[in-house]
Amino acid sequence: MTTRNVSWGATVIFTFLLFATPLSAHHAFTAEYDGTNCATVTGTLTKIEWENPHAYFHVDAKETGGSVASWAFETVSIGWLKRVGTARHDFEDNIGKNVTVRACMAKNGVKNRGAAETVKLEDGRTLTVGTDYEHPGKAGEERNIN
Amino acid sequence: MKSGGTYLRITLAAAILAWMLSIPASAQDQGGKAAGQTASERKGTPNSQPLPPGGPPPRLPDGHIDLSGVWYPGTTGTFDFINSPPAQRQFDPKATPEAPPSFQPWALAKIKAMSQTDLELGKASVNCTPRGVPGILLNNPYPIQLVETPGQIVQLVELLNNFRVVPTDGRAHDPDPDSTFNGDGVGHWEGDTLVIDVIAIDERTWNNMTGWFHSDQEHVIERLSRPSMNYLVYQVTIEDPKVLTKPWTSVQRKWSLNHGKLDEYYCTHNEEVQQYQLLKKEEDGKKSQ
Repeated sequence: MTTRNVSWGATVIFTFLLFATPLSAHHAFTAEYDGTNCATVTGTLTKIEWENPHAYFHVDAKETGGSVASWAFETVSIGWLKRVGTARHDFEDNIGKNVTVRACMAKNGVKNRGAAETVKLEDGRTLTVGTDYEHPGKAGEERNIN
Repeated sequence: MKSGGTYLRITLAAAILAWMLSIPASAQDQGGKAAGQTASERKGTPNSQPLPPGGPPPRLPDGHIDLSGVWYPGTTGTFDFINSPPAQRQFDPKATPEAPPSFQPWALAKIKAMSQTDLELGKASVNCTPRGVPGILLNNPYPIQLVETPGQIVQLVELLNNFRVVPTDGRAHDPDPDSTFNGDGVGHWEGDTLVIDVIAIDERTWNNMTGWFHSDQEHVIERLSRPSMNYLVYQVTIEDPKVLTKPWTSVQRKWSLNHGKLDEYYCTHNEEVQQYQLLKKEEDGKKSQ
């Protein structure tokens, strides 16, 4: 194979790979959060910031040993939250109450921060606040939702 | 028939099991498996099937197809990010594969040299900058609304509350347009297809989410049609002799009709861009060592 053929081949392969990368990869997720490191955090809901491009809600969780850790969780945009039936008042009505959050943890040494998938409320309802980050692509073609 | 003693044991076992399941998990439990519902069990918007054609498309009194409506990308007339049904795709890549653009070698090298952080920082979705033309119709999961009146079409965009107004009366371009995110767009009808010719697009816009930048010579030709009541079809050709070796044309991408309204979307709390800026500083710091 001549050098010229190799470089053209590499160009073709690279171009293919560049565009084979799913446009669906959540833009922030892969660099900020770890889909292989997900956990359930239970605590008291303290705050909701109902804004775009992501809402953030805060939970005070008791650690083993008795101290309290303040967590910040990110959701998808409020346009998507509303379209799947998660409303602002669902959070506001539960300030001060117990919540159980399923989330994937932040990378880069950032602690007590996660991209949330679901929030289970005291009344038993579960709010959907993110995609299934732990199983991307399982529910059909994943979409770039931002 | 079981004895009373057996019933008692079964009832007791069930009670113990119920009690065990009711014990809350520890404040943080690290698990490899997902807790709670599977993606398919979670709530989602109800429609996962393609809309029917819905009859012939409407026309304005001047005879042109009326493209007005609230349109969602894909064929379901809505968007379900939880279940992501296949019908939500704008096209089937197996049926109508979309060729990648053909970059000039210098442009390909520039894209290859971008780190993951560079790629994120260049994205409109991270910066909360407008996607521009044609990004707003190529890489946008949020709905748009078209409002067509004789001689013009207004495109309202939920994402970042954007809009553009395009004359459809066949006029020429502004002779000296500023570079803008939506570019200088002028439209004319070719039969039932609205053709919008766009130049002077701000060079900060990308044509995809993976680094496809463009030059000041970029020339975009958009084609919008409405084959039936419920469907809008968008196809775009991008010419850019500085960046591409040849023009690129998308496949026909489908949008489907919704009878709701757009939401408001302003970026008022963008922590992501700060995270990436910090990462970029660290990367640059390591490079200079």
